[in-house]
Amino acid sequence: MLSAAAVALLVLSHVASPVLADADGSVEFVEANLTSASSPNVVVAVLDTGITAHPALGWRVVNGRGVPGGATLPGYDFVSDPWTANDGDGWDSDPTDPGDGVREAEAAGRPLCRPRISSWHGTNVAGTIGALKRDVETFVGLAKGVQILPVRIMGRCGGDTADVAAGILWAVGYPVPGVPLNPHPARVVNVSLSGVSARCPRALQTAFDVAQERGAVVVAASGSANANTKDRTPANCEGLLTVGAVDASDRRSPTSNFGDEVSLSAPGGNMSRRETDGIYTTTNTGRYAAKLPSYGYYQGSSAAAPYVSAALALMAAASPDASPEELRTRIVSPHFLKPFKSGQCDPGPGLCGSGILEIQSVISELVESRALKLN
Amino acid sequence: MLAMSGQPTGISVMTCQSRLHQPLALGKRGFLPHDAEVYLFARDRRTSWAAKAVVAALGAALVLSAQSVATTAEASDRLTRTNELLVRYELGAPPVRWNGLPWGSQCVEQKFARDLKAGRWIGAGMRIIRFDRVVPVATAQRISTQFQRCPYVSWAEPNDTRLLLP
Repeated sequence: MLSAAAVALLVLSHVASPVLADADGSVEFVEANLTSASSPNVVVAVLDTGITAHPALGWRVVNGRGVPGGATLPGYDFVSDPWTANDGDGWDSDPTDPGDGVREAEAAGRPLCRPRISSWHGTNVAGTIGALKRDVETFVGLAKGVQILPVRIMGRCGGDTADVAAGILWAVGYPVPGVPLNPHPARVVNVSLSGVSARCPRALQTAFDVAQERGAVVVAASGSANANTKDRTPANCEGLLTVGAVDASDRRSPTSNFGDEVSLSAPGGNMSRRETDGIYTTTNTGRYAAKLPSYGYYQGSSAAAPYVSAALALMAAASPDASPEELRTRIVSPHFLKPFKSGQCDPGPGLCGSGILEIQSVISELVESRALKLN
Repeated sequence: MLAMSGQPTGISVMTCQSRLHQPLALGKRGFLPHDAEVYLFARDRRTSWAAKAVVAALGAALVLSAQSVATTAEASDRLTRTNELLVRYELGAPPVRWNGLPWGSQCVEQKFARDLKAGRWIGAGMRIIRFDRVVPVATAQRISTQFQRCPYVSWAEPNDTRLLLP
């Protein structure tokens, strides 16, 4: 059985666009070459570890500073703790990801801190949403043509609630004291992160409420601890879409969190057997510090959330006046979702959301209604 | 069996038979001091039964305590201590009091109030309030409750959630 992402290939196969497919059909993403007929400037904020220089994203680093271009807009770095930020200071105007890798000696004595190599997580998420085609790669983001707003709120050993709240406010164009106003407010805000909390921190809920008031829809990962989302935040916050992950067989990914808070699921891969069962995207070769741009695989609800964010960006492009509530309601309509079959959502019916998002259904409808065109 | 899963803490247990040198999953709040080394020597077959019994008891106690602490560490993926509150003020709230302490500190018991410092504004009336030391989350919660009794304070809560990559 093909994954929802793989089916997108079939839907779009009539388009004279290059595609990248594995022999077994586990296509990651397709060259949709979508452009909006009405609003090509939909901004998707990626609140994450920042972004690395990558030709498919257009981000460059010149003389040690990030320079936007291509799919990317100037962003901001809201990581306040210099050690966490790993860039020598606190809040600053450069969201370039210097790496979130932590050596064993560095992790010792720091709460909730474990040794790891750098994830390049923000670059992964940005690629899923908006990577541009390069000559050497046929891979593109699901919503190629949208603009990525990199907002850095995570660093070594995670991120702070206050920084995340400030980053969300800034991303949607709300004033944050001491920081220049964001001239490119986001319509979609992707937060692929998770913390343990039985309640949504009020700072986050306040920021999400403001985002909604300003017309942005927020997409959160359910988290990847194989745990109930009632104890995970921001999955348990109000007014956002919480996304779980499924594998290529449309089964819940083994680590994907589940619960009443999950709105829907989307392809997030499952690399437990082999790496290529993950989601292919932009990344970097560095183990700790950034080195060369590359492509690779990641997995989990982190990868599923940007799948939904990309679909929402396309819908927002086609419907510039749609409210966040309208977009949230539309994307979980049965028209766009494939229902779970028995056993595919193993924690129990309804605990993986209303169904599995099929982005090809979104694309098909938008193309048929001439809201979007393929070129 | 002394091999434990979990994070290394530098605590090791050695026996003369196997010279195991495996990290135990003891967190910062474990019963053994950080970076301590515990040597349990059962020198040879001439060791007295009493000595063996003591060694066995110590070993069993170590295993049990290590297991107990390991469970705690694995279950607690959240902060247990913090040095910050997050506060939201209503429109019109004075930024600080006449004595330089943050607005709202006048509603907090004196022994904590004098240690509060106004930190960065994060937007939408929200502000970080810092203690001069790290306190248990339960204490921070108590201070938050007192804080939000003050006029112009919409809410206050401990900054006790660390967000991680899924």
